[in-house]
Amino acid sequence: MGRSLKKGPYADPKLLEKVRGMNSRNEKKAIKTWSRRSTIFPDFIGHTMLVHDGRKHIPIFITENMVGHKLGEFAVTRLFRGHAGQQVERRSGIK
Amino acid sequence: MLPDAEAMPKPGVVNNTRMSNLPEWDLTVGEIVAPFGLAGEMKVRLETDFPDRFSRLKQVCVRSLNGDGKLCTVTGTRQHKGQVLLKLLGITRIEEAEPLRNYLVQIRTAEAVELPENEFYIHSLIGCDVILEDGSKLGPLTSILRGIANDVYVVGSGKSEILLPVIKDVVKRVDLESRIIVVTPTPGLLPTDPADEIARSEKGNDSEGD
Repeated sequence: MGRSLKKGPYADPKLLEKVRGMNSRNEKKAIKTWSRRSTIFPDFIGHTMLVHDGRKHIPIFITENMVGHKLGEFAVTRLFRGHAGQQVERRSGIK
Repeated sequence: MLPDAEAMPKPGVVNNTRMSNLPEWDLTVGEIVAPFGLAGEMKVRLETDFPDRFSRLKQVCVRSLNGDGKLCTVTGTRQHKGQVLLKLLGITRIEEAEPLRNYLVQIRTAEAVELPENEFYIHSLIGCDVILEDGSKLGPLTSILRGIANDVYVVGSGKSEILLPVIKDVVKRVDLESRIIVVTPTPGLLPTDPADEIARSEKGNDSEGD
């Protein structure tokens, strides 16, 4: 069941405050957070969030099409690395 | 348990000679996970970002995990539930396909699909030195986490591990010939950054971790 619309989207107040403070100072700095449940607000766009995956903080660059999703959606907690020592036809692109 | 390479059925072997090592056929595009049906088809788990490439394959190297490879002629491929069903010349029964379980399907590195600008094969990046624009070295690229939002370069290992987002603002240049990746991390990304120390000290009385 989704969250009540009356309440509006949730983001950790301290995180929100931090982002808004950085926006007012026009500052760009990676923000470390454990709050995977926080919704991505439009204020977050252009910032790099270090989202905890249970072991480490995954750097996530926030873009416009991520608004409305939760931070945790972009830092997966289960990772299959494949079999070691193989050259596989997988690519990585600079976004 | 892997079957003995000698006991392996004879698929469409090129030159009728068993080649114990085919070093140029080293790019894995899939892994045979199980036989499919009774007619010798095999289910292949994809290890490629280009599943359509199977429809163009004429020949593949089927390699056991102990390194023995055999060249086989592809007689048919089709997509099935996100996997590929592969048919090889000379394999017409499930009993012949069964020993190939867990074998790798490989092609020549030269046959890899050409990538657009700013895209690189992960295996070609691993081991590159990651340096800052002033020339100071951060460490070797040990792995790449493929993310939903952006990929992440893992530099170094253990406690000195550094994670860098693969975005234009951070990754400035990738030079595969000289094996270097030039980066300019935003403040807070490097563990020695004062910004990181502040975040660490704040964590103790921060409610974000709840």
